Amino acid sequence: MSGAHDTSRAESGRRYTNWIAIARKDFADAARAKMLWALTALLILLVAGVSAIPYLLHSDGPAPEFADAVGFLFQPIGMLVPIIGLIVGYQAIVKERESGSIRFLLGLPFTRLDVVLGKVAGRAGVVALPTVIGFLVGSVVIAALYDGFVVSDYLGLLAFSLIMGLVYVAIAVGVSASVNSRAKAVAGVLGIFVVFDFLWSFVPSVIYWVFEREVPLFTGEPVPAWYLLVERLSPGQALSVIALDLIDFVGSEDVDMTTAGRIAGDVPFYLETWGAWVIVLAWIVVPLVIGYYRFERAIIS
Amino acid sequence: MDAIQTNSLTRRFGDITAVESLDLTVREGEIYGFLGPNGAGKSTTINMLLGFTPPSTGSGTVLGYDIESESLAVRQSIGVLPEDFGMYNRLTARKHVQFAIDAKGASNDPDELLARVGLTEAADRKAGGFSTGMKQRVALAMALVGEPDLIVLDEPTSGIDPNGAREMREIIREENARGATVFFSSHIMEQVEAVCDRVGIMRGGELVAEDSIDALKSQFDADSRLVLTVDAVPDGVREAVAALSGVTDVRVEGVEIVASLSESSRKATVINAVEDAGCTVEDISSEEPSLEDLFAAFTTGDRPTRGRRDGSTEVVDA
Repeated sequence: MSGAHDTSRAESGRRYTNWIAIARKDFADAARAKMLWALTALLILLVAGVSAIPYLLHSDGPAPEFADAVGFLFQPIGMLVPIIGLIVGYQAIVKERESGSIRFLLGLPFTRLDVVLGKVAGRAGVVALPTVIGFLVGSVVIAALYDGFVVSDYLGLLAFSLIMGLVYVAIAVGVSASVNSRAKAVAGVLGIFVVFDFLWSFVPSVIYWVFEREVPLFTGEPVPAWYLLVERLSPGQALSVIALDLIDFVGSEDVDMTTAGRIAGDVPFYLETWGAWVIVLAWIVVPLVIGYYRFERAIIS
Repeated sequence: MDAIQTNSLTRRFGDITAVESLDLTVREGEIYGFLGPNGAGKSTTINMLLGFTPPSTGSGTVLGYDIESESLAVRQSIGVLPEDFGMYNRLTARKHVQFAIDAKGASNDPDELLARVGLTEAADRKAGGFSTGMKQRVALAMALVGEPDLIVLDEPTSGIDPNGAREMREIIREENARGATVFFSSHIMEQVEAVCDRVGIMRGGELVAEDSIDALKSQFDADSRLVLTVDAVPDGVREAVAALSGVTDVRVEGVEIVASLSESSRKATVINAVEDAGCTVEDISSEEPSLEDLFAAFTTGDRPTRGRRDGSTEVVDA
């Protein structure tokens, strides 16, 4: 049949880009939701509002500068962006399974990989757009209030926020692809967040305690290299390491939170900053691979 | 080449066999009605054809493409109106159709398709507020995108008003006239009768009958029934009637003699035989099988023991 050849030709041309149709649809769907506007308002409030706090609190001594504002912003971004990413992402696929719209999606010529990739792209866009708007508005406020605006550091903080958003969206979409109910997706993202972002700091301490019968925090001694590696497996920890690559923090040299300052002996290759980039990349890729693997085998009925 | 072909297609869920060794053939260019009560395995079959559910064993092709290894090509060449689908509540009717156009790389005009299904007015409205009937129309418009060679409609008339069902049948005929094969599943026989060339009837995961509706009817006509109400039933009357040619079964229920006839023309002979046996016939009714009975006969296992209760029962005064 001639149609067969036409079809396969049409496919090979589009197969690599078809997820874009899903990303576009998903973003358009979200853009009509109040959530996108709420997020935009929240991020404007965060970047423009929180960065003004050092200026407002300043009473005596030297006036706070741009670097103080950026340093002050870093913490709240690190707390809020992961939560935003998880909330935006966790329903991505499982909601379509619950509502039955997945029957449209999979009745059309999309692979399940298209669905996972399209959803990550669409939801990452839902986090990225308000973030960029928040930083744009924030730049006006920061430039007006502080001296010494460093464009590269500001863009570095924006890039850091976008990467962080992508990591948590990928985790949430991976969970969303893996389960068949929204309740399980909530439990999944919440569980991952609590374990890897709150409890994880105890993991290297516990391992250390098992071997050494003491906790390094109390002894204040330099820690072995493996200790930092385990600590760094947390997405939040790995992200804060790569932040040092992206942003020139005030006083980061003095406090010496850098690897060389914390460990005993030479810095092994896996604790160089690129190692943290690998871990960050893994936190994007691994959840999606697991999600895709499970979604590919899911029975849609 | 056949539009749909399955070979011993089987799907089990744990201990339950949803579809058992199904050999289905839908020819190119026909309108095929896929019938069966809920739970008969229709949806599981369609889910396997679309790649939603992998078969446990067996295989199948749709338009020559393997349903497992070439699912993308299958779905590129067909249009699907799924069962129990949900809409994207925040997207308009037009966006839905546009999404299907983008997905297939087709060049349709979404407004033209929405006009065909009677949704021109609602094109810019969000689907969240649509009635079931309107949702079905949007889904049908999406199924028509890209002039597919095969259109799979899974329970397309559920929740749709009679007028909508009629319009849907018209579109099915138009698409068929264009050259498309139509595979139409339903649990209501009347809905496929008007439009289908052939029907297959599923029961307990198996295909129990497959033919044109007329052929199925004539096969079933063998069991049109004659009910004679008499004053009393003397011995031997049952045997006397049973001995007549064209009578397949006789039962006596109180003062009713119920004869199943392979030919309706044997009614007079049966009445004469009963009167010859010494009965006074007080009432005669004859019951032709309805489409519903026909369907029930194939899907419940028993030929109906009671005739229809609708108005078409023919009653003759003795």
